[in-house]
Formats: sequence, structure tokens, C-alpha cells
Amino acid sequence: MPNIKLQSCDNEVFTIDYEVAKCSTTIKTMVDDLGLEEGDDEVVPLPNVNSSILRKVIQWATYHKDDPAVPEEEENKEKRTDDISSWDSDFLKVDQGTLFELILAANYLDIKGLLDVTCKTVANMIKGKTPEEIRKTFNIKNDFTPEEEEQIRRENEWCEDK
Amino acid sequence: MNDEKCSVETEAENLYLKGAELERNNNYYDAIRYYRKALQLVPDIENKVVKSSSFKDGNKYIENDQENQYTDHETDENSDEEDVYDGSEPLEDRFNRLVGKFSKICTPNKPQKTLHIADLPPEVIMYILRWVVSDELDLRSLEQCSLISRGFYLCARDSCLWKSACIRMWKNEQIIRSLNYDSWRDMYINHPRIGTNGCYIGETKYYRQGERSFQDQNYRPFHLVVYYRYLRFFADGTVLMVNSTEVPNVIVGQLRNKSAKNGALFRGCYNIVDDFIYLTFKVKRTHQNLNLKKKFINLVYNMQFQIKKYRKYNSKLIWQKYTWSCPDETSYEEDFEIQESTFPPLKFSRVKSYTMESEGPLP
Repeated sequence: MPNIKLQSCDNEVFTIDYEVAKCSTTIKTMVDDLGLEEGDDEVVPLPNVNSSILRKVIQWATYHKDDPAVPEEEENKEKRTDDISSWDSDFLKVDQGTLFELILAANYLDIKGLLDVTCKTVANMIKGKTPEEIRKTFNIKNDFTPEEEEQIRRENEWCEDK
Repeated sequence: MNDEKCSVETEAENLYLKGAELERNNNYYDAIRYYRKALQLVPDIENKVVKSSSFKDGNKYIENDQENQYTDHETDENSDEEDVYDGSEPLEDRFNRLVGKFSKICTPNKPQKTLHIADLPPEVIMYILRWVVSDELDLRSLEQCSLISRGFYLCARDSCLWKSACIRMWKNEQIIRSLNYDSWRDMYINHPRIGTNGCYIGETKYYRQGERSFQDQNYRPFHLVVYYRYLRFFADGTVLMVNSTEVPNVIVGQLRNKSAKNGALFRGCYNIVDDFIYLTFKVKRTHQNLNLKKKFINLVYNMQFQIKKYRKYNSKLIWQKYTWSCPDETSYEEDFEIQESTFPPLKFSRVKSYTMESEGPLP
């Protein structure tokens, strides 16, 4: 198996299996464009990812390198995702800052699976909460005037239970 | 080494910004020269410049200093106070005017050293909102997001999301395009549709004569029998039906997933046409004939309901027609007689657990 060298923005070099690195469309395209071949000592610079996040991304990609690219049949899929999500949910037991950094990295490196699972995690932190609880969860300032808030509540009335 | 890298980056950034300025002045030829020089120094300079947020949509070049963003925000807030909302301007226009100046979706309430949700790029925020709505059309959670901040309001009202939701609900884009609504959101709210974040429940009551006492002819017991019909719709066109004497508290939780298992459960599909909804259940039944030989027969149940408004929203199903047939044996369809007493309307109740977790993004 050929290896590939990735360099984080803080100049740490990671040597990993190309099969693992390939899950990043960005890296795959870079390698294809640069025409890297086996035995080349070229380093792929990743100026938007720091070493601690890159380490996590590699950990995720290594675990998921054998995932099927296309989802299988409905029934098989259900079993599979259950299995995967327990590993992923352990993997994603990180603080919010790290979670957002992982999202940025997944977005920049174009790793669909990692972007999905991280965005899903954020979405599930939002679902079922009141706006006030969401603001509290993500440390968000309420920038509405009372009149604006009142107006939105009226617009949203249709989905309230009462 | 690092310093050197920084200075190269600064140089590249300056070249890039110079290029941007020339581009704004329609001097494309020179602009490209500067862009090219910048790219030669730092290949992804565009990303860096945009990320450093000193450069906004090519509108205005604020000095290359992150701090400025906050001061900018502050002054904006002050001017804001004079700008009291009088209810005449659509909120979308108003927030576009007020928020548009700084691209962040929200601001931290307390200073925070780590990455904040507002540091995520807009396309990622929109993708997260697609996960919030999910493939099960939890638009209620999206509406909650519109109350987080002005920036979130704009994202949550984005017509792309509502259009996708409409297409998932009514499937046929051609038909829904022909309808006359102010917006996709208006259509989603007001056009007859089915609720996927809860359960439809119909309660049927009837009296059954009990055993009479042998001695006392005057004693005539009656039993009040209550049973419930539950319909749970999924956005992909699946519907689950359960008839049970068990109360809603026991049953609704079991209908959370499509793969729900319950002995009395029917699995079928549905289709919405105008304000009518058509359900089909195909059921395999074992049948014992006179020779005591068991065989399977296939039964098909077809139901038709009218979707009616109830407490402002589309949440009541009125029985129209109910037939069953046995297609292997005969083409004959038998009708159930629909009476209000035996086939009462089904009413919608939201079930919180159905929307606790997102399984997939809004397609």
C-alpha cells in the first residue's frame, strides 16, 4: 500500500495509507492533480487544519475506510448505521469548539461522511429545544427587539400545539 | 520559518486585495495579473482572505484587522436602537438590511475562546438546518431556529429549504408549481398536508351486551368498549396503522420508527391528492378452510380520508371510503359502511419523541 504525507498548518507531518487519505475528495484531487506516485516523497500541505484536528480526522477516516460508498438496501443500511453510529457517537464526544473544528475540516477536506455525522450531531443538539435553550447551548446572543420576537412568534403560530 | 511564511502570506493577501479593488473598478486585465501573482505565492489565498473576514462579498474592504468586526457590530447596534420595528416592513427585508452588513449568523453572548457556531460558513449552517428539518420534515424545529437570532431567522426562512420540504411532502413538482401561494413556506403551511411529527388517533366507543344473570332477569349488563385507530405517516410515503384497545400513551411510542414491531400493525403506503389522502395496506392472512388446511390469502385494504383543518392546521382526517378486497380470489371490492359513530375522524397529536433525532438530511 502506498503511503502519503500530510502536513498540518502547524507543520506536523502525518504519514498515512493513501486508501485512508482518499476519503477526502480534496486530497484525492490534489494528489491526482500533482500526479503523485508511489515512492514520491512529496508532502501535501493542509494549511486549514491543525495537527490535533487532523489526527482526529485520520482516526475517523481509518475506521471508516471500508464503508460502502453508496448506501446499501434499506434493511441492511439500518443495521449498519446503528453499528457505525455507536462508534461515531463515542468519537464525537468532544467539546463544542472541537466539533466545529471537525466540521470545518470535513468541509475543507470534503469528507462527506464526516461532515454528515458532525452536522447531524449539531442538528440533534438543536432539535426539540426552545429558541432560548438553543441560544444557551451555543452561547448565542439574542439580537431581536421584543417587537421583532413577537412578530416571529405570530408568524410561527401555525406549528404550535395550542 | 514561520515569520517568513507570514510575510509571504501578507504579501499575497495584499496582492489579492489589490486585484479585488481593480476588479471592482472593472479593470479586469490588471486584476487578473494581481490575482495570479497572489496565487503563485499562496495557492489558496482566496480562501484565506475570505476566512480572515476582512473581505466581505467584495462590497467593502475593512482594514485587515479582525477586531474591526466587533467595533463595526457595536456601532451597528447603536444605530439599531433608533430603528424600532413598527411592523410594517417584512422581517426578512429588515434583517437583510440590518444583518447583511456583517456576514455572521449570530454573535456570542459571552466572549468565547474556542470556535463558535457563527464561525461556520453559511453553506454549512444551511446543511445543518437540512439535518434539523431531516427527511421526516420536522419544520417545527426549523421554525424554532428562526427565533434564535436575526441571522438564523434569515437562514430558517430560506426558500430552498421550504421548497425541498414541499417537494418531499407532495412529491409531484409539476402539480405544486401550478398552485398559487405567496411562497413555498406559505404553501407548506396552508396547503392540505399530512403531519409527520406525530400520530393521528381516532377513538371508537361502542356498547356490547354482557352476560345476563340466569336468576335475575332484570340485570342487563353492558360493556363500554373503547378502541383506538392509530395512523402514523412517514415522509417517504410509508404509513403504519394499529387498531388497539391500548391507550395512546402505550401505542404512540411504539410507532416512532418505520421498522416498528407490533403484532397488530399494518404497514402500507399513502398518496396525497388535493385535500384527499389515499391509503393502501396489503395484508397476508392465514386462512383455515374446512379441511383444516392452512393457506395464505392476500387482502388489500383501501382507505380514503379528507384532510381538514382543525385548530388552524391540517390535522383532522375524515373518513370518506373504506374498502377491502381479496385480489387473488375475486376482483370484487367490498365497502365498509362509513358512519360517524364507528368511523370517527382521526385527530393529530404531536409526539415529541418522533423528532428527537434526525436520521437523514432533508433531500
